[in-house]
Amino acid sequence: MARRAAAWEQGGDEYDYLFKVVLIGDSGVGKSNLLSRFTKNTFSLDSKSTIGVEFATRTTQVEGKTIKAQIWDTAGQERYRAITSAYYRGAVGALLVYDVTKATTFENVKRWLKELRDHADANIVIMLIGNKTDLKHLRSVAAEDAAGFAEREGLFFIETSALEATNVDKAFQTVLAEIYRIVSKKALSSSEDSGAGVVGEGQSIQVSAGDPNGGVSSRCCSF
Amino acid sequence: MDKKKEVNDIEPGPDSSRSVDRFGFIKTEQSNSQEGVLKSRSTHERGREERRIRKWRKMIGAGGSDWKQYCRRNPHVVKRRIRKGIPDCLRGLVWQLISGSRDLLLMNPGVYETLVIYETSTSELEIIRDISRTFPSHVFFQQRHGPGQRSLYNVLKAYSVYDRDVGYVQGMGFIAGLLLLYMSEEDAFWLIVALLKGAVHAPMEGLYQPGLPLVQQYLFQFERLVREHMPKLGEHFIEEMINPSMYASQWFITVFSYSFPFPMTLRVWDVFLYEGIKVVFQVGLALLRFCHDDLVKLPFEELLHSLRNFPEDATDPDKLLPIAFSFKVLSHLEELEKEYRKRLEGPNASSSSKRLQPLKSKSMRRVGSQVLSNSNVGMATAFKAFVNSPVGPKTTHFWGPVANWGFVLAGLVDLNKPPEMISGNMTAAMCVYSGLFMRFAWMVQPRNYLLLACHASNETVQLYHLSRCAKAQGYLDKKVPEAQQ
Ligand SMILES: Nc1nc2c(ncn2[C@@H]2O[C@H](COP(=O)(O)OP(=O)(O)OP(=O)(O)O)[C@@H](O)[C@H]2O)c(=O)[nH]1
Ligand SMILES: [Mg+2]
Repeated sequence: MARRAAAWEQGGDEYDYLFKVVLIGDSGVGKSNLLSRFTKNTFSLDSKSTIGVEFATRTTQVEGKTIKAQIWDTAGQERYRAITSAYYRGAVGALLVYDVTKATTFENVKRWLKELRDHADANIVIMLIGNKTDLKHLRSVAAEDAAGFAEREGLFFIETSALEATNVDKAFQTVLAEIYRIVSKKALSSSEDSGAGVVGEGQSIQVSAGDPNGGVSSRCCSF
Repeated sequence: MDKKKEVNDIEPGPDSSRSVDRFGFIKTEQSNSQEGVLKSRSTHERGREERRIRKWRKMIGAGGSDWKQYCRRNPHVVKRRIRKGIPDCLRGLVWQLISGSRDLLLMNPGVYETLVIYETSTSELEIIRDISRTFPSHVFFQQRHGPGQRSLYNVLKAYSVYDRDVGYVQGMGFIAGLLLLYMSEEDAFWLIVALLKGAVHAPMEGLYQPGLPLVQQYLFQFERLVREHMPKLGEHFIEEMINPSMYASQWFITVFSYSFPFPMTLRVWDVFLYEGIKVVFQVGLALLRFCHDDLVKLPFEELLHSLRNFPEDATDPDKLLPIAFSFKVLSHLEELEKEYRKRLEGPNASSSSKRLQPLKSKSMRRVGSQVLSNSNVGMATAFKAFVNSPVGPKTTHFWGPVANWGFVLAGLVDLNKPPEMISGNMTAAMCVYSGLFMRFAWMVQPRNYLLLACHASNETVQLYHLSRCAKAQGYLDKKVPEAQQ
């Protein structure tokens, strides 16, 4: 896919790695606002609910390498999983968001993990995010509980506020850095092509034109 | 919630210094420029608009009385005029006429109210959560707990009770919100019923049912249509691995009411309600055709961005719709639907069967026979289905129409009462009332036999009462003594 790389380079859009990341979690927990905070530094108090999927990118630096994050923001309502779960495939990172003021959104985290295990690659990097920490007086999920849960499940964990822009960059950066760490370790430990879910230098992962059964398969493309 | 709290909760209404466009959306910089264009419309144009409204008024008649006849006689004129856009002041009424919702409303008196007041829905919290996230930039829906938000809640809740299989799905709010800008809650509710249950066109409930089966079918069909009508772009999409679910899901799920400029949404809805879902495909194709030459050059990310942010030009209905109508898609859509079903039933169907529920066939059930003539249902085999159906005895749809039988029952009970206790005026009024309803039940499409039977029975009972009453007051007896003499 040299042609694609060339087209991107023309736009001054060079990068060493492209990582596909998904944002999941119950409706209304603040996924879209975390994304807009990270990619555009904007926040909206009355944002429309996401219908299907949305997409945004941001390029950042990790250990001197240019990483492009290609982020898919999904609709949170359960009914929409019929469409959105196709986007888990090929993702190397997932941000699983709950709302610290709504205990049910934290209880549902287990269900979301199962979704990921069913549809995403096994070695996907998962970050559990407790959002809306600015609403201090409404908090109903203790940070310790979530941290304990994350540790048991082997997830990263952070609390954020998309409104106050607290820890948002850090959340994304941590995930990207961890993915990079895995990728570079893999590259060192074996000369083979990187396995599923991990994207090598200059490679990209995208969802392909789907078949009517709703399955959208991922495909790695290399030079 | 007590009243006091509610009052405190209400945020200050929309700032009066912030102005709104002619549809009630809070103006942004962008829409300001558009408004400027509108204001500068010449008096000549305004005169033309007035003539257009007069023509439309004549076509529909008072309260829509002439509409059906006009449509039957001049279908092409109607189609042409709708494609030019329904005058905004008549839009709400005409939408109800062309969608078939007006008939549903008349046939089901009191049903909506019952759904809102007496039924509870498991989706209530979900609906509430999304209320302030639906058309947040419109004055009508802006105020917390204001009339706009309350009606939106009522309509969505009523539907989630009416059809528990569908319940509430995000995206429905935008459709309900759009309708509420043009009609009352109850009218909006029945219009959604008409669309989803298929009063005039194929039912669209599959857009929202678990597994979103119809969304998946439409996306499949759309992708193939793109390849057919714009092979170069279709090829480019394949190369860049662009899938219609990345940009077009919301086109179908909200029928262009989610993120397009309002003037375009309205004109699309005018035609969509009259001509059916094929319009959504046509408009989608037109958007792609309009930007075709740019789109084929763009790589994945820019391409996806462009597919979600069309230029102002492309969303101008007067430019877009003529392109849309130039695509002939109907027969191809049917073929593609067959092909899609075949694939579903094919060898790899098992893996997807969990996600994709079988689609109800177009001809299977139309809302008319479903809601309106309960008398068609109820045979032994169908009985169970009926009991659990959205119109079954577990629901108010059954009880709503059945309440009419109450008159008959009351009338029969009255048979035991002495005739002196019967109000002549009331009984006469009942006769006229039932007579009118009998005529209505007979004339309406589809004919409502349940209602007809009900009012025929009532008519009989009441006429009998009237005769008893008359007899008691001596009107009929007069002749007897004369004859005896
Ligand atoms: N106070 C506060 N509100 C937030 C924060 N993040 C999001 N919100 C609000 O929460 C609501 C939902 O935010 P979204 O970002 O649209 O939620 P979502 O997870 O994308 O929801 P879906 O698209 O429906 O799945 C909006 O009203 C936001 O303004 C936050 O950090 N603090
Ligand atoms: Mg969202």
